[in-house]
Amino acid sequence: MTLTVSRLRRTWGRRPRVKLNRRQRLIGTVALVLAAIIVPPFLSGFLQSTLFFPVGVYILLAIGLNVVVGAAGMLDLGFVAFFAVGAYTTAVLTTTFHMDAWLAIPFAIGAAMIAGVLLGAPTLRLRGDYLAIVTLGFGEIVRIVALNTNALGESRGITDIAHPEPLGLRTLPYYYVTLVAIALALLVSVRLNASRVGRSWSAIREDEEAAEAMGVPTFKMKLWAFTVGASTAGLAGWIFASKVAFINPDNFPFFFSVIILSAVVLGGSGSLPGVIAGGFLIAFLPEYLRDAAAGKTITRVLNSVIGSNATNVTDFRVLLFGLSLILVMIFRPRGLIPADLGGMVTTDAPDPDDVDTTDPGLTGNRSMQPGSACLEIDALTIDFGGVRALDHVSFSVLTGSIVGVIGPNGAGKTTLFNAVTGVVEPTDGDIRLDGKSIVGRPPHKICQAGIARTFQNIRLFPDLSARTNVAVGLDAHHKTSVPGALGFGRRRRAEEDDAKVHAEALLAFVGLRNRGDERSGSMPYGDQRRLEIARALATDPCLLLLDEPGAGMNKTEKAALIMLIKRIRDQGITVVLIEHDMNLVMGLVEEVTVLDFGKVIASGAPAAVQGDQAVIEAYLGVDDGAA
Amino acid sequence: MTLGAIYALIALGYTLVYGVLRLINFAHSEVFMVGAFGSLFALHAIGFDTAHAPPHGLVLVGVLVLVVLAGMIASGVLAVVLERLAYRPLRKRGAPRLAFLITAIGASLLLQELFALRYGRNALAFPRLLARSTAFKIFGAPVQVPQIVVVASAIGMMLALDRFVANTKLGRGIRATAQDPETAQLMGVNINRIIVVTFILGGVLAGGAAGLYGIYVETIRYNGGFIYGIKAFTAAVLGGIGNVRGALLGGFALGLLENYGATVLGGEWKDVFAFTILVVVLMFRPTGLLGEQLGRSRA
Amino acid sequence: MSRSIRSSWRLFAVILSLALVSTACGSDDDGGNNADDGDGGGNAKKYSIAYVGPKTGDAANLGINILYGAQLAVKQFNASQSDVKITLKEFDTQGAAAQAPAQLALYKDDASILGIVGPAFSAETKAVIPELQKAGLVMISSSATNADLPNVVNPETIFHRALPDDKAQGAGIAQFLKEKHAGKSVYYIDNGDDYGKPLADGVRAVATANGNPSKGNTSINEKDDLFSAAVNAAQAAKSDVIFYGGYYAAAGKLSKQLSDKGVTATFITGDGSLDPGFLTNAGAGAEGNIVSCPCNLATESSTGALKTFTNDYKAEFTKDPGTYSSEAFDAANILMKGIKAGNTTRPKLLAYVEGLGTYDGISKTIAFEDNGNLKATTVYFFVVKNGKFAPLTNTDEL
Repeated sequence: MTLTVSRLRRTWGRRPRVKLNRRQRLIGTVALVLAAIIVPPFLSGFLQSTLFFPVGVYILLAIGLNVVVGAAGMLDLGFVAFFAVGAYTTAVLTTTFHMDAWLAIPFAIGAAMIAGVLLGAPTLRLRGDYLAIVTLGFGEIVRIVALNTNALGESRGITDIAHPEPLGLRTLPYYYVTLVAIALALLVSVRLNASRVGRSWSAIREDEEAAEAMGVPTFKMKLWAFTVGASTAGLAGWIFASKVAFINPDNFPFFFSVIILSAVVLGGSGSLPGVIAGGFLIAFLPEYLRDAAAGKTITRVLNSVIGSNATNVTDFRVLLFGLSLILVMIFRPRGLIPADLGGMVTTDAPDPDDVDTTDPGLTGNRSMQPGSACLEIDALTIDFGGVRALDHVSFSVLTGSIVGVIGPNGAGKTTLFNAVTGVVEPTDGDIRLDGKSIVGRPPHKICQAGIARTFQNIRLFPDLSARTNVAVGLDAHHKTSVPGALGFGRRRRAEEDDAKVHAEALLAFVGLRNRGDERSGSMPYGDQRRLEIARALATDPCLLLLDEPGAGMNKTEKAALIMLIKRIRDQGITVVLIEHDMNLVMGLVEEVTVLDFGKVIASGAPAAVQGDQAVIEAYLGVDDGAA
Repeated sequence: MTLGAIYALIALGYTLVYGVLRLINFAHSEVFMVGAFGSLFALHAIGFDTAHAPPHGLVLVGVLVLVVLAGMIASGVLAVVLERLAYRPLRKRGAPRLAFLITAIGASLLLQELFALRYGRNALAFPRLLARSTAFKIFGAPVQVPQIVVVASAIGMMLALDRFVANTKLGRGIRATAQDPETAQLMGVNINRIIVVTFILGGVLAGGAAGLYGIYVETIRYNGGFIYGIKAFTAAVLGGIGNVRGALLGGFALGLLENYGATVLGGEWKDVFAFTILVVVLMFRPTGLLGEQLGRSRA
Repeated sequence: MSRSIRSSWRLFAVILSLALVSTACGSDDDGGNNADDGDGGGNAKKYSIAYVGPKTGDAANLGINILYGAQLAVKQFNASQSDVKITLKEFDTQGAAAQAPAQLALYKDDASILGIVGPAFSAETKAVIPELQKAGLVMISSSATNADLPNVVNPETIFHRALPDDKAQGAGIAQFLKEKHAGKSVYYIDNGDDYGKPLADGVRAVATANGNPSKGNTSINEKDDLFSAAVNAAQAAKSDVIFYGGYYAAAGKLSKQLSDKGVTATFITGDGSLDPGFLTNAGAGAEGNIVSCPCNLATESSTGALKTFTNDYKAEFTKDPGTYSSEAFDAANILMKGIKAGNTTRPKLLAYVEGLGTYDGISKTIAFEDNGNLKATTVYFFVVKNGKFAPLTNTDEL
């Protein structure tokens, strides 16, 4: 497995050889945009028509689906449903209600967004593959409902959908409308990705549970991803319906969703240029093969290989399409134009002058008085099925102290952390932060209330840069959501500046200054541990839970860790750590709680606990104490 | 109920592969389709075409076994070929999971078109092997011999699989890999071998389902696997993907739900009914009716 | 634009420019297929007609029947005279309404195309009629039978068809029931779509009024393999006749499952099932099933011009003509006759077809109503005999 992992890292770590500077990039982009604007009028009717549909529409849909799949990492197999909702809304409004086609745009988009919420709200808590099958089902449900609803024309479909005037009959105007829509969709994607929203999506894609623990409102953000994706599909539906003037349920088969998904993944999930290229190729190649001159040879060769008697290369289009999907994925598993580090989300380095490396900018214990109870655990009991993981555990942690939780493996230490951070619901008992119960709150709320954590087995967002990891933590107290990220308000600017500058200060605080651009998953082990602490600190906690922070570290690193934890406490932050290394614990903490089989068997000053007979029997007697 | 048995057998293939690899083998529907073609060609090879009179006695038993075996062989071989040519290169390259999905879709299209081009887009008919005589009645509903044969054989195959996974060394390897591939490898389990075995098992079951389908439905078409693939996948998720008994339960439950939906709401609404039930089930039991047991949940 | 995607743009640029170059190179080929099919004919004037319908996809079989009928007509026409040379341009809609607008964009703007044989199916026809009307491009479909088609846009349009519509077919079937199964009860099954449901409902309305009591009706989903719910309902209805409105694949399976269940009612179905695929799927149980069609299927046992057509078709394509082949042959010939008579613009050809009067076709005598429907309403019936379709009767003989 190590082999595979290192190989994985190599694949991920690989950078394309040729790099373009900003100017070359700009020239390239401008040239492409100009070509897309100027060339089409000189093309044949066939090509104009192809460039509008499927090429333009596929690209638009692929950009929309990329928000769901590429940015937020949710597998959607029913994306066509939103396209259908947009198209049917347009059709019904402009025929039954005689609405002007232009006026129907907001309704088409709005209806698709509502469909996104309707599908998302009950199902987004499902894990990946379950979500996939539910979206697939949703896509089919939308189609079957259209097929069997009289008002939607059943299988007859809806004819004579109004053209938006003065676009009329011709193809070309719709091509340009599509082009504008693509530009808008790109703008939305780029704006969102360069904000808290994009970072949240990336974090969810990389590790949803860790994201939630770092204060990302995962459900809300996933719902937004669905809604934004759906709105693009709704717009595409409007364009399609108003151009072809006729739709029926056959326009929206499951296969359509598959094709768009293929476009996203083939091009490079999470990479906008990739998605555009993917949409272009998937739409264009089959249409092109239809009439290409090379067809005759291909036909002859394939006929003799397969033993078929096709007369035209058209017959092989789907076959070749399937074959090319396999080949591209085998040779470029991350897509034709793979997303670089972090997909579309990176956090640029700040101006060094802006960064005050001496001040990590932590609020610390807030209004709490040193010596008061920061965290109170009161008769906490947790059952898993028939197993009692924690049994009436009670202890409190004083504000500004460093407390150790020790115990043999399986004693319930991590379960305790999970309960405090809201990952598992207590069966009984109470957990209070600064006197207020936090039981029943979702993890991201608990994080925002001031409890941050690290994980026993490091759970960074491996594909994101170190700086972005920290920025996700900082976002726990940022407010920008989708509307704010799309606008140009002051708050967004301020928050983005804060993310950049503050992240660098925090990186400096844990000793990772100027390493912000590294891919976090590729950093050395000890650095990952420290980065995880920086990310937790970024949520500006009053209480920091460290789960075996010293695991896998050598002596020097451990000494540095002790220093770091003390400096964290000096910022006014209360620290609770789970640790096996008794030397580390004893040299650092002021108080120790010992768990065994889910029960507190001792509590008190390290020296006293070390001498406790029950502890020696349960724990120290078994372990040599220097593991 | 009869279709439910076929769904369940195919669902097992999804579940096994998912349990071990966390991969939705989208091309599994084509594994089923190719199995049905395999069964049909085996019949043609021994001279049974549609004009042939139904066989009797021992010959009948022999032909039935042959049909199912041919399906199993065709599907099993295809499953291994898929694993070798389409999935293994991706695993070696450490590709993201989405890449597997797209490859599977590509393979699915490729196979469908291959058969469409070679054997035409119209359905091919199976000869009649089992007379449609009524064996007995349940609550006034007649139960025909072929239905009994299909359900009984399917349950037989599922029991055999359950025994295999529970009691053999390879079965233990599969369960270990499903739980934790890295530890399993450390314990000396040959992961690649386990993966191949898993694909063969899934393929053989789909092939068995295809043989039974041929006997019961008596027709196969190049895209005939698609619907069954989707349904079986739904069944697997309904029961709890990765869970062998869940696939069984999900298959039968889906078969019954569809039939109920078709009777109450009309044939055109039955899929909506089935999918709605699925969503409702998942809302209350997010990992399916029986949860994930073959592998533990990777929270 | 973030820093991380800079290099990606390069590859993207390469791909897009390659694609644009290749499109630009390809742009002199304007989509129609056989644009330069041989250049004999000397100073013959060249015009085109279009075939619009499926060439690939699931409905390809039916499309090929029509396409070959039209191809044969064009070939014989070009061989028979040297004044004009007609090219048949082919547009593959895959029979799907969803594909129709994309193909429309291709032939609508090709000025050499004066008329259309097709579109093949009702749904795809409906999808393009408004645009064809605006383009003034005359069409004669050899197979689109939906009763609503003349009303998609206001009557007197580019729309024409070379066979009676579903309403006529429904009335014809009801007449058949009245004459051949007088007083017998009927159970109706349809596929729920735009073809099957109106057809079944149409038969039911007229037949019930004619004294064939209805025992109820239900819909199936043609994509299913097993229609247990419908079969059980039909069995419980204990009717003498079962009528199915839908296409051949499902009709065949349905017929088989009914006979497997021991249902002995006479199985009657419409033109969507007049395809060898029906026989394959239905198996031995299809014997005695009756299939109606407003089309006049050319068979071995046809006579006169239709027999000649059957022989020519077989010689050209080494297979028997199929459903709608003869209608497509007639449709193409009407258009070509008009062009030869000097109607060499779209408005002129449209006017010619509108004022056709009667045309003595091989399938039937063709005369159009003002709305484009055929005046004749003859429906033909075929019975499955020894695993083949054999002519049974037609409504003129009843």
